[in-house]
This record gives sequence, structure tokens and C-alpha cells, in this order.
Amino acid sequence: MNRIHLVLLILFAVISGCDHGFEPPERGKISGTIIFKGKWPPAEEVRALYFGAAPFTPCSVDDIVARFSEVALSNDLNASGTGIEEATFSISDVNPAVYVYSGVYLQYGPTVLEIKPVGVFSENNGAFIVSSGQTTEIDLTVDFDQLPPFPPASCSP
Amino acid sequence: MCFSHTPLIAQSATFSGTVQTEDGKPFPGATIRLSGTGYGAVSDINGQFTVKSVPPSVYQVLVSSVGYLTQKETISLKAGEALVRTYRLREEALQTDEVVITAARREQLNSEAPVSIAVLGAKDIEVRNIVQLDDALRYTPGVQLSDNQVNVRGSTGFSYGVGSRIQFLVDGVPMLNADTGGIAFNLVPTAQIKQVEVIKGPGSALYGGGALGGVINVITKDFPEKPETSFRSYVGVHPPVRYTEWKQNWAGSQRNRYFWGANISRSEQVTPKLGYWMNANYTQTEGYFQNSDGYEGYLAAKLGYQFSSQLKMETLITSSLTHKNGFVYWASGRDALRVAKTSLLNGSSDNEVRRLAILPVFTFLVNPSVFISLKNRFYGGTTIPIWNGALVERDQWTTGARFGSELQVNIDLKAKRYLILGAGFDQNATNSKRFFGGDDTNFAQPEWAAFGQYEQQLFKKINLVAGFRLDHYEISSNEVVQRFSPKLNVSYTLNPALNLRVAWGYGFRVPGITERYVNNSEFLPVIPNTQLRPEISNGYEAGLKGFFVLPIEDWAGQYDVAAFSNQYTDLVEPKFQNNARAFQFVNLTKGQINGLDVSVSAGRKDGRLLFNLAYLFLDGKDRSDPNNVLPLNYRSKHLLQASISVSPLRRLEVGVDFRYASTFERVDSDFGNFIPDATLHLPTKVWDTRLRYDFGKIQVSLLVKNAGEYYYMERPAILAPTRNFILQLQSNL
Repeated sequence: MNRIHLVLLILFAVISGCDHGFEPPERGKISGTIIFKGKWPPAEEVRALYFGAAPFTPCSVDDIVARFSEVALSNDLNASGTGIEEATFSISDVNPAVYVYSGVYLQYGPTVLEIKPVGVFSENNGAFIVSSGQTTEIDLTVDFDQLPPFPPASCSP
Repeated sequence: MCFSHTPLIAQSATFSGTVQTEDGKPFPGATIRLSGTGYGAVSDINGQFTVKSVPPSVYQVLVSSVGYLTQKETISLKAGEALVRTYRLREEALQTDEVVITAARREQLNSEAPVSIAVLGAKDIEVRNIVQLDDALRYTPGVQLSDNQVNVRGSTGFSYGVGSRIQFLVDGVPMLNADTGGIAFNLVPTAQIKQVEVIKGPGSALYGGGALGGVINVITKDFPEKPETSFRSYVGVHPPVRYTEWKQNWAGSQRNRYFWGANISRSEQVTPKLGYWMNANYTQTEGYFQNSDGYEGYLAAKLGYQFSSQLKMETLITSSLTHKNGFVYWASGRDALRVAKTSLLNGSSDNEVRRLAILPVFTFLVNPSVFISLKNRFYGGTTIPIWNGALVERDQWTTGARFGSELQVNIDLKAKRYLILGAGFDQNATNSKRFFGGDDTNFAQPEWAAFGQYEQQLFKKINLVAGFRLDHYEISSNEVVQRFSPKLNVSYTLNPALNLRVAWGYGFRVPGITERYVNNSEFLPVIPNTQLRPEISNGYEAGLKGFFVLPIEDWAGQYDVAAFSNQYTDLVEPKFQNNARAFQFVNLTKGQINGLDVSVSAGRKDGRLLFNLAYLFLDGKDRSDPNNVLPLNYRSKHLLQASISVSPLRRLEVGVDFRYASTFERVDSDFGNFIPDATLHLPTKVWDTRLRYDFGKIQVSLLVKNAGEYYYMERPAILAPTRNFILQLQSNL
């Protein structure tokens, strides 16, 4: 009996060891390049430009605000001033998910409620995936002369 | 049909006797069979048995019970004779030589079966608190499960639950679902399983379409002479997982998640002519991840009636109901307990599934050498979506049904020669507006088949089996598929402890209705493909099976080693079609799997220490593109199963099971493009432990499943069961 107890003890020690298999994986990254076309709005109306990716389709600015924590946002693309032709961005620590509405948001007022999309990623119906530990490349063009509709057509009843 | 019963009854004999233990005590519950006939009995509480109205002839008697060495004897019964025999069963800790029926469509000893066959007994199911049959298969050598999809020697991989590459039989009757072509394990009455036989390798020559990679045959119990009632109940708990990331988005993950169930069973041979068993089961779970709660149950009964000395009927009726939220795939690997729910993806499938199967089987003994069986089936099911907690309207239900018959004639040509001939018909129809869309929501695939097998013993040591099956499928009004599936097996008995075998056989599977016609975007966009061709396999095997005695006192064992090579053509897999922006089932893969399948069992003859070890090596190659040979999707290269069972005290049993599967060599990247982290996979390293104490009428077990708290995935984007503790009570009255 004693020997069996010993064997069982050793066995449970091995079982409850360190290897717990699958762990929550690292977050992912989004990076890319934005090309700007058309006539820029006046500088005072461009407080900031962000690339943002949302795992939902916002039908209003309120939707974005309500689920703001789910939106992956870049740093200000406009930091070097308006009139630029191209900007690159990189967002780390992105939650792995499928992102269905992404694009460049223009902040035209002092609050986060004062934003509008000026360019929307449209390949693959606008969807792309961010996987753990991997970088997803997204390139898109902002044409200030042809702004995308907001809310998007898919929000129409 | 003008068979005359009376003359045979008038000339019949009676075969009776007693079954005893080695030390002469009565042995209840042993099975006595006259091989190749429907005649048999189960010994009563005094170990006595009687087989009445047996036509005079020469018979091979098989006396067996799990854990005891099968006794084999040839007897000659004369007209009017009452032959009495006594058999003593010797305890054999290892189930060395079970009687199997699937390998050659007739009863034979496992050691004489000319193909690889794994057998799982009733005790394996009972002691591990197996609630559903697929859990039991995880402990079967050479078998791996991807969620509830069975993978025999790597045949299946993972095909999203659609289409089984393994034929599934209950008492020899095919039971693949009409709609998806998958297996409804929850329809099988686990408390009344006598044994599960798994044929490893293509088996279409015997069992037709679906037997691409193997065959599983669930054999239900006979009726005992003495009434038996058994009750089993359990309660279990999944403690919270260890990682904060998985718990932060779902409040339900921060407490224990409970599950429980009960199973009651009653069986009896009421009169010499009438017997029955009934089995009811109910389980309920909170689920260990979001959106996986629900309940399910089954009611099953088998009724047997001996109309005359020649004609017997056994009808199995089983029905099940499952009402469950379904977790199809996760939100992401960092959010693994939460189901994907976005405007693009829906990872949940909440359904109520109702199924009913009625399987009447008639057996008729024309004369002692000719035995006919007529196996009939009706098997239907309905899947009802649950939306917002309520069942949807009837027009969204998916209903599938199959019915058919199979006639089989077994002819004992004497001098160790057997001939089996048969023919069958199967109608298979499904209606689904939900999954097929469009105007046409009714699809059917009727099938006709004929088969034959000849078996002969040569020079007393060589057993030769040759067989074929011709299947004819009507895919649509202008498309038919015909397949000819041959097989050839040769076994050589070198000595009573060593049997060598070589086997060759074809397998095929006609893609199911769902694969061909599905047109749905509920989970992922999927479009139909009416041009699908049958999947084909061609398998070779060389193996040996033997018994050994260890140079340790009272130790013995057995082993089975098989090298195999299986070629697959036109395997069906879902593929993302860029032009249609949707998945479609297509004939994609030409594959080859070479491998080695080894299993060893050893233990003390008194059964107080048992040890099983099984190893499967798979070298799976995707040869679809000859210039770019890749590993096959969803196959592990190494699979290891080990178990040990110790009885330190007479009433106490301790057991440990271990399963290891190496990381999939390759995973489907198309799926991974849509589901976050769906391509992640790790080795499986799972320990299950159990402690069982027998109080006499009641047995109490404590089980810890996944005791090492190891997190892993059996299929993409879903965590396999986390560590759980189960307390089980079992009572046999």
C-alpha cells in the first residue's frame, strides 16, 4: 500500500506540474500606409487623424463611443501637419478579432464625439482579421474630394 | 417464403448446462452462443443456461464473459437429444480473446479476425463515467477525436462535423445521419452497450459507403436470465480557468460550472421467448464556456421475441432530444471562453435536435448451415433552431430521414468454409429551407447494394477471406454513382499465441446531401457544389497479434502490431472560393497515410493490476500537387494512449489514463482567415484519474478528468474540456 501511495503521489506531482498547454496568446498588430488625395480641409478643422478598426459596424458616432474600448486606434496621423501625401501607422496590442469597419477618422472638434470617417477600408467587404502575435497590413486611400457615406449603407433599414 | 417450421421443431434438441468459475462456483451472466446461428443464452444466477429447440447439427459453442478467457467447443446435437455441458471460465485479467462480429459479418474470436479490430468493453464505459459514446472512443487504440468527429488512423482529419469517413453501426445497422452524414452519439444507449468494435482500415467491401477509413459497430447487450436493474448518477464541476484574460469578458467563467446526469436501466428475459431492456438517460450542463449550456436525454428499448425455433426478432427503438446552445468557435484565443458574435461572424448555433431510430432485425435459421438476417431501419431527425430562447417556426426546421433494409445470408459450407451473400436498399432524404435556401429544399440520395464474401481455411492454419460490394447511388435524376469495393484478407496462425495477417480493401464515401447542397451564411458563407465526386480509399495492412507470458509470476499480456498504408483520392474539404466570396465543399485532396499501430496490454491474471499502451505513428501526405507535397490537414504524427488500473484493496480500484497527440502537422488556413486564432494548435497531453470503491450494491467513483489542467484544442477555435471533477454513484440491483 505504501508503495502505491508513493507512486500515486509522484504521479499527481507530475500531473499537476507546469505544463498547462494553451495560454491566452499575444495580441496582434495592425500596420499600414495611408495615401491622401484631394483637397485637404482647412487646418483648423483637422484636429487629429486616426486610423481606427472596429469589430462592429458603427451606425452613428454614438455607436463608436459606446464601444470605444473595442476600437483599435492609431496615433495621430496628422502630427506632422496637414497636407501630407502619405502617412504610415502601426498599432500594437490589438485584440485578435475580425474587424469589419475600419478607416481613417477625422476629429474636427475638441471632443471625441466630433469625428467622422474620411476614408474606409473596402477590400473583402471591409473585413480583415487580426491574429495573435501577427501583423496585419492595411493600406487605404483617403480622398478628401470623395468622402465615404456615414452611416454606412449596411446600417440602412 | 415457404419454410416449414414444424419438422425442425419436432426434431429439435436442447442444449443446457452450467457455467462455473475456476473454483466451481456458479457463474451468472456468461454468454453462451452457437456460433453462426441466432441461438444462445445468458447464464442465470446459478450459472445455468438452456438453449431450447435447436435443430440437430454440429455447432461451435462459444462461452464468454468480459474478463474471462472464452471457452470454445464443438458439439454435435442429435434429434431429440438433451445435451448437458459444464464450462469453467478462467479469469483472465486481459480481455484477450473476445468474440467479435464486425470483422467478417459473423461471430469469430478476435484473435482469428483477419483485420485490425479494437474492442471496448462495457466496463471501460462504466468506470470512466462515459456519458456519450464518443468519450469512450478517446480510449481506443488508433482512434483520435476532433471534437465529436472520429478519426481512425488519421482517416478523417477534421471536416467541420459534416460527413463521417467512418461507418457507424448499431447492432450491425448503419446509423449515419441523413442530413449531415455525421454520427449522433447521443442516440446510443451507453448503459446497454455490450461492446464497441472498431475496424481500422477501409471497410466498404462489407459495409458500403461511409466506411472510407473504418467501421464502428456498437453491439448492445443480450437479455439476462435474471432481471437486472442498474442506476447511475453523477454530478460534476468545471472550476474556473486559470487565466484572467479568458475570464474578464464573461462573468460566468468566474464561478464553478456544474453538470449532472442520471441513467437508469432495466433488463430481463421475461419468458423463454420474450426479453427486453430499457434505458433512460438525462444530462444537464451549464457548460464550461459561454453559450454551451443545455440538456439532453434519450429513451431506448430493445425487445426480443422468439417466434419459433427458427425465427427471432429483435427491435431496438431509441429516441433522443438535445436542447443546447452551441459554441461553434471562439471570439479569439485571448477570449477563448466567449463565443464569436460580430456583425460578420456568428460562432453560436443554438438548436433543439430530436431523433428517432427504429431498428427491427429478424433472424431466420433455415437449417443449421444457413442463417438469414433481415435488418431494417427507420432513422429520422429534426433540427430546430432556437432564436431568442424560443424554437423557430416549422419552415426553418431541418428534417432528415433514412429508411432501408438489408438481407444477409450466412452459409456454413462446412469444413471451415463460409459464404455470405446480401443485398440492401437505403433511402436518404433531407428537407431544409434554412440550409439549402432557394426554391428546392428537398433532396434525396437512394442507394442499392449487393455484397458477397467467401471465407476458407487452408491447411488448418491459413484463413482466406475474399469479398466485394457493389453500391449504386442515385444522386439526382440524371446522375448515378456506382462503386465496386473488393477486399482480400489472409491470416496465418503460426501457433495458438501468434496470428499473422495481411489485408487489402477499398473504401468509399459518397458526399452527403449537406456537402452537396448547403447554401447558407449563418456561421460562414457556404455555397453548394453539386459536382462533388465520391471519396475513395485503398488500404493495405500487415499485422500480427499475439499473447505472451511475462517472466513475472501471474503476469500475462497481448499485443497487436500493424503497419499500414492507405491512399485517399478526392477527399472533400471546405475551400474558400475567392470569386464567390464563400466556402464550398470541393474534391481537393489526394492523400496518403502510412503508419504503424501498436498496442500492448499486460497485467496480473487476478486483474488487480492492468496496463495498456497504444502508439500510433502517422505519416500523412497531401499529394494533391505532386510538386508541392504537404502534410495532411488536421493530423497528428504521434498518438499515444496509456492506462493503468490498480486494485490495492479488493474493493478499491485506482485508474489513470493518459492521452498524447502531437501538434497537427498542418491546419486549414482558409478557416483561419475568418476566425481569429483558428490556426493555433498544441500537443494534447491529458491525464484522467479515477478512484472507485465497491460497497457491494453501490459503487462510488471520484473522477478527475483533465487532471493536469491542460488547455488544448481538438479542433479549430474551441477549447477542449477543461479540468473537471465528477462524483459518480452506480448501483446494480
